[in-house]
Amino acid sequence: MSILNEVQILQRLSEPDLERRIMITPLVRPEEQFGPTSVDLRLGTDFQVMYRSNITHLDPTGEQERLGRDVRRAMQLVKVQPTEPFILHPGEFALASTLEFVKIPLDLAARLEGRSTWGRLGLQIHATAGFVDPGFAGALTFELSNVSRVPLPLYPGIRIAQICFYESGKTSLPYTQKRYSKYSGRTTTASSAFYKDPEYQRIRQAMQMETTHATAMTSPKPEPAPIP
Amino acid sequence: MHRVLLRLLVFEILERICRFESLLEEYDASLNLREVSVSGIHSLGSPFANGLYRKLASVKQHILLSSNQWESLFTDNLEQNGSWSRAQVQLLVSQVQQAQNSLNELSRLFSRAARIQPRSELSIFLKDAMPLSFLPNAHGLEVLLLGEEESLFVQPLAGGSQATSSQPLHWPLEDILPAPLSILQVNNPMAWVSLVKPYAASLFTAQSNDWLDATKQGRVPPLPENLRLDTAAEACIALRLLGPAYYYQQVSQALLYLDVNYLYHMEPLLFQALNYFSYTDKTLVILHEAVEKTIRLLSVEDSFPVQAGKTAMPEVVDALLHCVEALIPNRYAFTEKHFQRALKLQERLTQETFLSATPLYSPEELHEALARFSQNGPGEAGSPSSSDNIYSLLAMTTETPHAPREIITAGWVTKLDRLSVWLYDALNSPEAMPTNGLDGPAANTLWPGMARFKDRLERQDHLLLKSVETSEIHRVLLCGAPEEWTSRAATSVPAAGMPALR
Repeated sequence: MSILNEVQILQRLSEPDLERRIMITPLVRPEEQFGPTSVDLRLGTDFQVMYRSNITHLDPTGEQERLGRDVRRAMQLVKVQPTEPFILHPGEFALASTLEFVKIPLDLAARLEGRSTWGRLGLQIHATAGFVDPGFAGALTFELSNVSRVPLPLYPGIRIAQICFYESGKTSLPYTQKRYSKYSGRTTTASSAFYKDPEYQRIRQAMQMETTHATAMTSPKPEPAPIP
Repeated sequence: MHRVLLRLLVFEILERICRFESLLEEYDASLNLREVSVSGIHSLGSPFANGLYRKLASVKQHILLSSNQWESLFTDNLEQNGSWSRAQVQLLVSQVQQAQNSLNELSRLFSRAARIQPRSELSIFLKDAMPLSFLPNAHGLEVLLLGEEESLFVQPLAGGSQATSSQPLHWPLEDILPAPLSILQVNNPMAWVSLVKPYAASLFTAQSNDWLDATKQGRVPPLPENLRLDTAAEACIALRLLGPAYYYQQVSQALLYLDVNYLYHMEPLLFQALNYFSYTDKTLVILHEAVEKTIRLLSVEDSFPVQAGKTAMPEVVDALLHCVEALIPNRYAFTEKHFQRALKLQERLTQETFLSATPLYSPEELHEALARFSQNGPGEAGSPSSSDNIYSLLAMTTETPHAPREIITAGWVTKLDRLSVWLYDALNSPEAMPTNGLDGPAANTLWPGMARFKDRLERQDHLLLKSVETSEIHRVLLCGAPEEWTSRAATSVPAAGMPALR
């Protein structure tokens, strides 16, 4: 698995075979955005911030509809104007997304990384999820954290991250067709849908079965009918 | 009535139902989010929202029950020349009117209860389409959200008839221009083009003395009695600012309210204006021909009261358009080049990708340049010639932002083009709704065709809104860039001054 250099990325941007073409739009100033093996991506305008005072906790084994509502309740949506900053305070966590629409072909995987310029100021752009599957199309989500001691003003359109591409061989399981993909086709900041993971469905079922079993064990057995 | 118009009419009514449902869901969700769930007890939902859901479900049910009669919208066994019979038209019209009246009532109720704000993308669109610097005597344009068919304005369209809007009635703030928008259309960027009407009216008012002088002096021939100068001039100004999107929106609106007089008197004028400004596309011709055939059919059958009288003479309209062209220079106008760029965006919208920007060079041109680069070799790594070469290649991927008006026009063209496919899918679902027990958003699942229609509509709205916003950030980031990168005047020709490939 090798990483694509700038010429190979350019070749993929102009690839005649649409299935093999990378799409990154808008490319505003490519001479500033391209590196030897990466393309810088910009920050969008939609943010989601954890709003803790609205909920006690998130219990993934609860009812799915209610959990979805709890997640929405826990995330405050913030939208900034094109020349207005979003202030990320020390220790704060926020979700955001790329300004660009990114489409990855079926034979490439990609990795989203921070830029050292921002790293030196204490900004992290993802917690654990920097990997992008082949076939992904949409806006990529950032998991922003400020680990410094000063607030960071983040303006829409700033180059905050970089994406690099790896050849993977053509997959038969593109992201959009994955049976359990939860964020396919999203073009805006999406909050976690962790509660939709099938494991929780199984845990819920197992818990229900245990409860039913326990109820059956503790309930008084019916008296045997008297022999006539 | 011609089949094209019938489809558009049914599409418009389904679209309004979906838009109302989306607003209701948004409102319901915001009420739910306000409830504190510390105790684990959740809101039982708003009785007001539930009541509206129930009423909306009965409108949907009414439409679904009627839809089997509309099957011939998609089949060829029509009477004459792709048209329906008089009885069929009257039946459809009464069904649509009934649904429309119910929706109007619901939206009026809703607009009083819900606090819905216009979206931030709206100000980007207004800045592009209706610059305030161009408008004398107004310090701001205020968008007012009203219920469907509510208006602050009354506009005499022709003769003594009172139709939709333009003249403000006793508006107390003279330096603020009020622009009413239906609450149902607050999230629909394609409907924002209707906001140009009060803007155009204000522009006309500022110029009206000059225009009346021109008429008196014979430079502009007088209009026929049944067409007022202000109405005609405002329509021409609006078309100059927004291009075909204004034509599409006005015809759809007239159709929805079955305003046959508007179609009879104003549509030919607007179509002539489209030709005058050289906008060409098959969707425009198809729509115009459908209106023409329908009017001909109606005047024969006398199904609707059309105010008799001459339509405006072509030379009169040309003179009027000449004045409008002088009033609004190309820099502010939606030109034919803008329209050509908008037409190219249609494919992207169908593929559900952003349409905020287009590359200066096509992928084919970049591909050829890369082939030459590979043949000649990049030069020694790190040498100045090597880096010059690669920067020339990178510059070829630069994209130029689209004007919000181009993005919204692409939305209209796609709607007109895909209309039949969307409708067929929505109306030909084998599933039917039950006759009772409809409550809350769960009712959506009972008519999957309609749910798919609504989903498509929401995705398209979102893409258009996101593209409008992204294009604005793109423009901000291009501040100080070469003029050809930022130029609003559209061109697909590679910009002069781009670095040459060595």
